[in-house]
Amino acid sequence: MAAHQQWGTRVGLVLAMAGNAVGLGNFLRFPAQAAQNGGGAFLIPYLISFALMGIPLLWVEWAIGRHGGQFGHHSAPGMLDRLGPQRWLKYVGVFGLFTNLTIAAYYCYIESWTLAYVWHSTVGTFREIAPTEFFPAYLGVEEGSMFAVPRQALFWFLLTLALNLWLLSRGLARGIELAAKIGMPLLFIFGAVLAVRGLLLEPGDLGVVQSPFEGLNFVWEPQLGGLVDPSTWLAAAGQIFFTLSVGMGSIHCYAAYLKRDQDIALNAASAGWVNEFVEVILGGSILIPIATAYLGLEAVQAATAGGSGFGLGFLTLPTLFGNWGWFAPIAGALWFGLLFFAGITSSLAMGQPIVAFLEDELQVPRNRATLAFGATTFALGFVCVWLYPGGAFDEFDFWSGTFALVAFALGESIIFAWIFGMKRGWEEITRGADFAVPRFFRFVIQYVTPLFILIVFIGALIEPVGGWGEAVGSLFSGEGWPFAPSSVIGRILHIGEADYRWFDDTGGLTRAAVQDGTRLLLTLVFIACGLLVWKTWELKERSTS
Amino acid sequence: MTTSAWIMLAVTWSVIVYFTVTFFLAVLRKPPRDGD
Repeated sequence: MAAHQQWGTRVGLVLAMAGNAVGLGNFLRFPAQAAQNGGGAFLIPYLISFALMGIPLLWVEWAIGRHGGQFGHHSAPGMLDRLGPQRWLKYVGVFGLFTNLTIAAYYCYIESWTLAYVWHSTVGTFREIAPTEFFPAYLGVEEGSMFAVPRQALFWFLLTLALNLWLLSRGLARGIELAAKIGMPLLFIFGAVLAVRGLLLEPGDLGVVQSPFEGLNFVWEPQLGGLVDPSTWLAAAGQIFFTLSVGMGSIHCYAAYLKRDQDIALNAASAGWVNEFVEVILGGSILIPIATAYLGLEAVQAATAGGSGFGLGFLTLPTLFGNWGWFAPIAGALWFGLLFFAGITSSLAMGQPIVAFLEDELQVPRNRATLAFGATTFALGFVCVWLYPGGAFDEFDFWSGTFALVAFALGESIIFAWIFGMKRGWEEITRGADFAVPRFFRFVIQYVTPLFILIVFIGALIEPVGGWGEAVGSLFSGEGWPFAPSSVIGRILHIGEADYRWFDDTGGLTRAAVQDGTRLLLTLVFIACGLLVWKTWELKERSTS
Repeated sequence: MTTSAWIMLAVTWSVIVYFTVTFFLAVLRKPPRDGD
């Protein structure tokens, strides 16, 4: 039973929590976001957001988790239910099931690409075929088609899922903690080797056109104008949000296996700072400097224009490693190996809350609960694989991996500070603390953190085309608010899609149909999670009355 | 790299290394309590 499990060691817990936070975004998203949002100036709002939103939210989630664990709950619905007498609180916790289930589906798919790329780097596939040709073929993407059934991608997806399930079935200490204890140190070593090797490149080396320090300069040069641009602040706050894996229910779950008087303040701070180390120091020193050395700064600026280094990471870097002679296959294996370790330590954290919910609330044995998680993840993941060309994957990423996280974090931060109450909340955070949490954070958690998240939430909802100043001007000049196609409202209304329809002239499905279908599926999954929580509590109440 | 980029990098890295090492060492050094 979940309630009888516990962490093997304190370091193991901190590494597992850090591993949960460290993901592919640390290496692919952060450097691109920093470079595109004011360079070194981005780091100022980034670190302020970490102090005022990131760290406080970590403490809140650890506190909710450890508190819920005392009542035998290791997943969000039960934990939220224990924060107050209101019956609706447990339904806010539904987000903690929904996000983990749906993010795991597409995240395990990305994770499987990294595993496949470790293999292909090692056997020298990218010497024969360019990654730009390999990747679409691997995903089964064909011109004009909305569907794909890529056998190789499915094989690696199943293998990755099986590895996750095997580790989950071994339990907390022998599975998740073991993976973190092996994966995190290897990730550090792989990252350090690649960063040093990349920064030692010099113009004159085979294929090198520019110093990698030009790339580092691109990331770190402070463009102070960015500090007064709300977009920079929203991007920085958003990055902090997603890098720490808050708003998911996975931190709560891990913390729920602590005892009542065990420290959470120091553990949470330590895990959070380890994530920052990996993101800023390692993540900022690999992708962009190496790509700049071989492609030149202009090409890298163009490749990261959307705020993502995904294309550089999967399509460009494997080719560039080809210039490293005998070290090329090793470099490819190190790069995709570190991405794989970053991925699996996160996906395990998505599985555990679902397994724990089934164990705690429905008394399902661990192995069966793990299999149920695996079957659901595969079914949802298959939608991402099959409808990848139609955009299903992107829809999962936006609605589950972005929007739902912010919505849940906003809800839990308000519930913790205003329903559970800051008096009890502060007592919960500081009980057993191995360092004196500055009292200033009590005020921050009560007022600043919820406000910060609310601003991020509203920013995502109504993000405008162009700057915020121009958008306000447009509103007051009577032209209306120019919603960006990437905003929540812009997506719902399909803004920017000139020819919105579900079927093309030949009767085939359009991208819009796949997008709407995926949104309907995600809505149904959310409703199903809500119904499961409702039924579970109804059965509990019936059995106790 | 420009001087301002070096300064930004040095300050940020120092802050991050300081807190990461301080907190992680504290985790390693604190003796396990009952149930740890």
